[in-house]
Amino acid sequence: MDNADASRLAERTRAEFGEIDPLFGEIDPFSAIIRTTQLPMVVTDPRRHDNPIVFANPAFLRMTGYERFEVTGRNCRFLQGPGTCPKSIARVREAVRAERSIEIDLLNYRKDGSTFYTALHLNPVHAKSGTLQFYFAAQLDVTERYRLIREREAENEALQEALAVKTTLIHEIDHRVKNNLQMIAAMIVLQSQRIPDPSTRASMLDTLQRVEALGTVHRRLHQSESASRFDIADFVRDLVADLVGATGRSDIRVELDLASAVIHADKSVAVALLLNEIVTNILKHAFTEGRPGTIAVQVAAGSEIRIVVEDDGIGMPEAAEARSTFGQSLMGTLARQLGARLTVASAPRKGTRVELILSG
Amino acid sequence: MMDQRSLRVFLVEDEAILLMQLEALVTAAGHEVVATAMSGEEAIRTAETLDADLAFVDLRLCDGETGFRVGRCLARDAGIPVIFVTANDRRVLGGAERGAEIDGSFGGALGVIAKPYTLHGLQTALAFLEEALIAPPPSSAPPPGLLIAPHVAQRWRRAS
Repeated sequence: MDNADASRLAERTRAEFGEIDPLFGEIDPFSAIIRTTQLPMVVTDPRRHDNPIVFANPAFLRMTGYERFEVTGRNCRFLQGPGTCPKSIARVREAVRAERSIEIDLLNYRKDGSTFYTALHLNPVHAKSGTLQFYFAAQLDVTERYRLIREREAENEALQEALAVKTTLIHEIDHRVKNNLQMIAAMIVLQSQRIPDPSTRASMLDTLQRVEALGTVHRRLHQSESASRFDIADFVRDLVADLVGATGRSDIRVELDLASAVIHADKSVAVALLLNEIVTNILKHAFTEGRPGTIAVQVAAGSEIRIVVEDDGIGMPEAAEARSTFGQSLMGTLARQLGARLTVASAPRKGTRVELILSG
Repeated sequence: MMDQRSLRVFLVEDEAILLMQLEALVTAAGHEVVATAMSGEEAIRTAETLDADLAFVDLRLCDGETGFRVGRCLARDAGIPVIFVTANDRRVLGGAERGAEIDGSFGGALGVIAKPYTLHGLQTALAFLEEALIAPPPSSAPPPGLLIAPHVAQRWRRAS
């Protein structure tokens, strides 16, 4: 459409603003489109006082609930209400003042006081000379979109709350597990202090170390973000430092060669208990009668996880004798639980080598 | 700093059996348990007239999450070094859950021992603290079970 057409259209449209000529409306295709479209539209005349509506199409009247005579001649601000964002109103006002187009969402009010969201597209219409003639405003009802957003927000909020409850619960349970393990350990410590028989006391301390190994697993597990991955290397570092330290001996050297080997939390307790037995056994049997020595632990992770614990001590007691201890049978059963291959090689005066192979 | 060989220790723990173990351990190491408290309220009341060199404070006590308040009261008001004992060490270390109040500064505490601790871990922590408080700076790094507040650790490093 060229400028001459546009000004003719404008003239014709202007002719309609007062009395509507039904005949004229029928023969003008633009007018017919504007009348029948579902898109609410108004035209305002900034050359008149307070920029009043000079044309509103039926879709606009349907959306707002007003009659034509109630909107014609009024400034569009009657659609606004207390809930309309003042900043948005100011932006529209500024666009009108500057004769710029603007696209903005506004909360508007119907005649009956109910509210709706509208996506306002406001465009100034300038004559060829550059003088401002009209504002053309198309307003799409976007209430549904806002309703969905609010619904989504409410759902998110409910989920966040549910998550917070679950998180609190997990922390609570974690706290109780740790506290209970701590209490079990404390009971064993306190009880063992009153036992005069050294071998009974030693058995109690074996149990203490098993419980403490469980405690270390839980501490390590919950220090990780997911609480479901367990790094054998971290555990070995804690375990060996603690068990060697607890012997009170400074003549036992420790050599650690630890690659990170992450296993699922399911297996962590069995691995921890097994390693506790291996290291405890070595510390108990390898360096007796003040014999100094070295305990070396190697963790290597490939398609399988390979853990080797070695010492240069006097070697394990005879196999038959060893098999009968609780510690030995615990090791065998833990290895079975893990589906792990456990081999113990021991030679007198050459120390012991324990190898544990876990599928990754 | 202190003209003495042993520490006067204040214990705040609401679990009877853990309190008993701590008492036994502190005493066995040659230190003196000057007072014990089994709730935050009791701890704060006791702190008013307390003469101690070190306090072990369980973070979660029977009257709620009052350990931090006890710690603040002891560390800032009474000037007693505090070691928090907690099964929720991420709260102290991360601080994200509880806000800036405890973030980074360890809630004014000297250090943290994470539960579950081992008997040996607690013994070495106590031995380290004995040296650190009686004849600072300590000659060795803190044991693995004891986390020292960064600003204190830095001060010790500079002094040594």
